[in-house]
Amino acid sequence: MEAAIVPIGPILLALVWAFRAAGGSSTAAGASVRLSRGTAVDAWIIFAMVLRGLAALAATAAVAGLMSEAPTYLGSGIALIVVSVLLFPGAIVDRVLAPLGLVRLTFWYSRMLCPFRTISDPLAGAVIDASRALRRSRVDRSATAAALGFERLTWRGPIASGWALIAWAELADACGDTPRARQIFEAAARAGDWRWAAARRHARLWMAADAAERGDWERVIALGRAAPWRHQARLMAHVVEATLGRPRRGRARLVARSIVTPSRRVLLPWILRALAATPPAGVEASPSGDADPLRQALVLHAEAVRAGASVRWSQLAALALAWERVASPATDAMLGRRIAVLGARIDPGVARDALLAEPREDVSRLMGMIAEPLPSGLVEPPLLRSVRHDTCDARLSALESLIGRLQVGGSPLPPPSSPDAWAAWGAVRAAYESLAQLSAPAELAWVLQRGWGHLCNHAAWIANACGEGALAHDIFAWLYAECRRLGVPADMKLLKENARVTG
Amino acid sequence: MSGVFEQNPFYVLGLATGATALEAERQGQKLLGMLELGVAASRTYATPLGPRELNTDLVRQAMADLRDPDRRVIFEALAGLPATDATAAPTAPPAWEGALAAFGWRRPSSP
Repeated sequence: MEAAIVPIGPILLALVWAFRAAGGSSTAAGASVRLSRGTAVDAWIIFAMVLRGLAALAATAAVAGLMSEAPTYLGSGIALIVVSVLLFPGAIVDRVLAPLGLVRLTFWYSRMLCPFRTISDPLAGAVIDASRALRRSRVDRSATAAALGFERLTWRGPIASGWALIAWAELADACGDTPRARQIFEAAARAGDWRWAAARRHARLWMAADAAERGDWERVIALGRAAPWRHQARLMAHVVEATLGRPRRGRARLVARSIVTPSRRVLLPWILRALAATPPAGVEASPSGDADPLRQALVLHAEAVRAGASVRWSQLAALALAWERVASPATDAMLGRRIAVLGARIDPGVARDALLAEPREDVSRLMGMIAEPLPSGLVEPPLLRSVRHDTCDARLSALESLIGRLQVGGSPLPPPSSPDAWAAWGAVRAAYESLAQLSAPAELAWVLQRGWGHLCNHAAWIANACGEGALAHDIFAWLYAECRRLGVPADMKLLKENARVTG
Repeated sequence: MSGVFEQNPFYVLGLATGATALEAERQGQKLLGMLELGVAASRTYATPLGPRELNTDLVRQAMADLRDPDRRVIFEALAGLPATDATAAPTAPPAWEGALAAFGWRRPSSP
């Protein structure tokens, strides 16, 4: 009989062994997730469904007069499924387990077949897969994640590739804690280690998609500009800029980028929309002979607001200068006439001051999104300098508050604290970079001179008391590079040595 | 949102700077009625930056601004540029609902 050559018995034995081995492998890795009764039930339910399908197929073959062939079909079908399960774990996770919301089974299966996956940190990869199943699950997600000890699991795992950080962020997002997910993704996207390149790409894509979902297009543009050349976030930024009528590059460039970027099919409707967008008509400028300062200021103002994140510092300086020129006797006279006609009681001088205060909010908002760093040697009109200093003061207070909250001593934090520590560091980096965007190097050096000691102590405590070498290394390496770039009189030898020891 | 253009009551209500207080009041009431009825033509207003989305809060604020002569003087001075019609300038695309799902992330379903 042909059925005798199909080794069904050994296959079943191998499956049982695999299930048992999975529990053992998790324990060996120091994991708190074991192959629980729930996981086994999930697995056997799926296995029973597959067997039932095969039995139905065999019955159909028997009815069709292929009785003698039925066992062969059954055996071949089982063999095919086993081979698929072993050779295509990614597809099984993506298409079957995660969509069904089988959290434990997804984790176990991904963990067991990790050599076949592409992520360099198998434990974190398994948690990321389980997070995807968790999103589909209808159980209490936070309780499930806590019960399975996923955070603790990745904390114990290797963090060298950065995927553990991604796993924490994915887990937070799957549990509905999106603000925490944003902070951790932020830290991952800014980490400087070259081994984190893949994790950084993953984090940037999530952040860009999250910003697009909120309609925060300026953020999408900023993220895209910082992304590598073939990254999807870069294509998204290009598409958004073209849609908003900010054609920094031509359509041919957009088409070329669309071809070389992965996931272009997802972005196709947006690409077509961007290609169909017409460039803005622009505000009609005053004739050269017309020297109405108010109209000129309004024209420049409209152009700057329309440029959004693409606005340049030189453009803002010209805008501020134009508004300052509005303060003239002619404007006072014009306001005085209208005050008389409307029967208003405001003093013309007060009205002029109120008029000149109106653009401050827009200029401040544009500064908040400007992508270009502050150029050295920029001649700042008083209006621009005043708005910049106000904005810098607010950002400096936020940064110092965040730095002040970083712990520098005391007892080590409990194990699942690592994501919190990374999230706190991510928030500090984000605050620093938003301040750096508006600051001259000398101003930034002053800020870093005040804060480097506290950051250094925090990193030392993180390394010594918490054993978080990767986070400490990221802090030391960044401090060393930044202090060196700005010429801050810090203890460079100490920073360099600490970065080397923790690296 | 640009305070100079997008919150200027003359653009919000679609009025010329010479409009009387009575005209402003009538136009505001008319827009409020149209917005309540969901008339498509009332959903946007023209500004020098292109069309922007209109809502009842903006209309009420614009009416209040024009009732105050001291505020009106400032907004008159700032309304010196012509508003562009709906097709002249590109508008910001709406938020991309499902962007995360498109890249394989699914927001958690409610338990």
